[in-house]
This record gives sequence, structure tokens and C-alpha cells, in this order.
Amino acid sequence: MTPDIPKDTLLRARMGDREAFRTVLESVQKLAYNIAYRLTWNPADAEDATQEVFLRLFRNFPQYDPSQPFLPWFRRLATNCTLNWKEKRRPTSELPDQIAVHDAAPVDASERLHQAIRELPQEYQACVTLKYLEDLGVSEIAQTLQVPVGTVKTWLFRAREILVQKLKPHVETLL
Amino acid sequence: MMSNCDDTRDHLETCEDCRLHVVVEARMRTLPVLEPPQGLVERAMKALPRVAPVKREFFRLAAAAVMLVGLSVAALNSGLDETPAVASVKARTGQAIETTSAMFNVWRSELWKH
Repeated sequence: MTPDIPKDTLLRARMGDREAFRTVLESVQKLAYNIAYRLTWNPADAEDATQEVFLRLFRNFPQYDPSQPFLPWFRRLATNCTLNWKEKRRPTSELPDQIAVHDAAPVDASERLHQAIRELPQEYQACVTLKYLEDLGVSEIAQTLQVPVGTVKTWLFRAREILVQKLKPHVETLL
Repeated sequence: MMSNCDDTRDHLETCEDCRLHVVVEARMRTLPVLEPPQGLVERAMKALPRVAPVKREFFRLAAAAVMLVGLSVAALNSGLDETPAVASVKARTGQAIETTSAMFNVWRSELWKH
């Protein structure tokens, strides 16, 4: 999903070069937006959260160690920043979301699945997003979320169990 | 290996729970990857602060250095320590400040002439 960014571009962006920073944003925007979308399930919120991620990247770029790969560092920043953004927004945004979830009558399998994922606890959603969007292994997810590997395994197991239980009554639409 | 696959298939045919697990797992892998909205990067670039963090860091360091020098000069001139070493540093610092001030005055008067 994310093309390789030349080392030289990363170094220039880290030093405050705006054109290089724009190139970095163009390379990572799809990843950042999809992480944000799968943690907010709302296009407008996903866009706001992605803007916040880009601002955080701009501020924190000097902390990036160029001897390390860029993508895992960015993925961690994007995930944590989106989760923080969501946490701050919770008092105002949760109520309409909850109403929408219960009022809406899901019509197809993907919508049912989206709804079930959206109702998962936040940390489970983050695990599921990193596993199925980015196809990351358990240890990479643990590094990204800065939690032990065992915790990630538990979260993924529980997330799948919850999803299966929620989707059980609608199994025929999933097939 | 073949018998393993056959066993798994046989099990899936009879176990609805495991079948559902497989289906959910497969569905999760096919969730669509979305294209970001048009102009997302442009809007982000416009919202960025004008001063890059590295430059801001430089200004902070410069301000800290100026404060440090100022405090050192103040400490020297406060007269708390009158040992020969401190007195010698104080004299040299005074000379340096006088020379800098004189140079600045000359430069300023030259500037006014033109």
C-alpha cells in the first residue's frame, strides 16, 4: 500500500524541507487514511484524524531515527495519534455513532461486518486493523501498539470470538 | 499433508462454529482499501506551522545560550566571588564587552554617515 520513500527524501523532510515533507505525505496518505478510517468508520472523522496524524508527523519528525525503517515508526505514530484523537473526541462523537449503529438496518454482509468491528473495544479494533489491513504479524502489531505479544494474541482471539458471535445469526449473508 | 487437509475439510463440513470462523477471517481480509479524499495532502500542508520543528529547536537552543551567557556575566559582576581567578575572568569579560560595544558604535556611526 505504501511505496518506498527514498532515504534522502526522509532526511530532507526530517530537517524541515517542505517539498520533501509533501513527498512523504503523498506516499503515506493512503496508509494513514485507511488506518484512521478503520478506527473511526466515518469518512469525515477519518480525514480529520489523518490531518492530525500529518501534523504530529511534522512535529515529531526530528525524533525519527534515520538508521531505522520509516514505515513501522510512521505506522506506530499514525495508530497512536488516531486512537488519541478518537479518545479526545469521544464525549461529543460517541452518542451519534451509537445511535447510528443501533438505528441503521444493515443490508449486506460487509455492512454487518463493519458494524460488528465498530462495536469492538478500541484496542481490539486497532489489532484487527493492523492485522487485516496491513497484514502484520503478531510481533509487529505488538511493536506498533507498544504492548506485549501475548496481549496482542489475546486481543485478536477475543476480537474474532466477538465478531463470530455477533455475525452468527447472519451466517447465510456472509457466505 | 493430504490427510490433514481432508480431515480439516471433513471437520468444517460438520462444525458450523469453525466454518463461521473461516468465513469471518476471509471477509476481514477482503475489506476494501479506500482511496484518500482529493486534496488531503494540500490541506495538510496549508495547516502546518510556518516554522519547521528543527529550526524552532535551533531558536530555543540559541535563546538558552544567550540566557546562560547573561546569567554567567551577571554572576561574575555580582561580586560574590572575588578570588584572583574570577577577578581576571571578570576583567577580560569587561574588556570583551567594551571592545564589542566600541565596534558596534563605530559601525553605527559609519552607517549614519552614508
